[in-house]
Amino acid sequence: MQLQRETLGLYKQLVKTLVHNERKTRLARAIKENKKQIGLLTYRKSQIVRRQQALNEGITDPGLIQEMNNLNRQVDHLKSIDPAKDKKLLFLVDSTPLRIMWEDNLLKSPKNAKELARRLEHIKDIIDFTKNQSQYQNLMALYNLGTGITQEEKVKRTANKVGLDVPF
Amino acid sequence: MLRTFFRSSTPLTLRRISASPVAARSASTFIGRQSFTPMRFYSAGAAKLDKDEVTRRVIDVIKAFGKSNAAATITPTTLFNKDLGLDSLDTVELLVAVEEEFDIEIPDKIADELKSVAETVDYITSNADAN
Repeated sequence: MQLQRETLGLYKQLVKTLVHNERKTRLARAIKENKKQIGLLTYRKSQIVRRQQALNEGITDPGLIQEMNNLNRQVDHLKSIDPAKDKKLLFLVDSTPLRIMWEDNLLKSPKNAKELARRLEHIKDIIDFTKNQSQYQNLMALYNLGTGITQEEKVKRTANKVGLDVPF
Repeated sequence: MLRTFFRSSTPLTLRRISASPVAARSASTFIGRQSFTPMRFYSAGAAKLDKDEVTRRVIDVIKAFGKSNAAATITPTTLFNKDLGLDSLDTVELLVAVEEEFDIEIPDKIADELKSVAETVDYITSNADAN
């Protein structure tokens, strides 16, 4: 019972560090994806406007209007979503490999208690390594401020430094 | 920096007051009330979480968990093991998500005993750090 609790505690720590590690990149990706979808819908909207303009004046196609309304609704919906609030970010994308590793390789058939202890120690090392690695990345990002931003943003900030605005 | 300073030195409400006398009266009471707002310290305990709110958030988290079945009907009495079909490792994953959601740390001993939604909610509401 004691051993089981200890191994479960280790599993929990492992999952937690992995979730932490994944979170930032997944969030960034979700925001990017959301932006991309909005861009795509805006493009489709502009296409509809063009088609409407191509029609003779005074004639409106009800199909086009409906399609436009539909697109507007989709854009509003996408804009209302806050990717940071997505609860899926709190879970691992896929924990199956982890589970397989845990159940089949780690806990099955250890020759003796010493062997098992050695394996658990190994897991602790993995957890520490993952934690330190993400800490290291955070610090690197903190000390090198320019690395995480786009060229456009860099120019904008440089201009802002001397009190100018760049019209993008 | 100067720009933000000027912006904050003439708040919007003040500018609007000068426009109409009626607005000025209501706005002055507003300002009077605002000046009595007590200062809050970082060390002060945050407002306690509402139990219904916590339940709702926990249920949202469970719904986002792909492995739980019967996702539509989760009530406070739902048991992780029996009703949701989660084994011990799944439950651990779920509890990690709950910890992350409320920014708390559930000790292993207590985590062992959390078997249902209601128990988890009770623990979270009793934890002062939860937010």
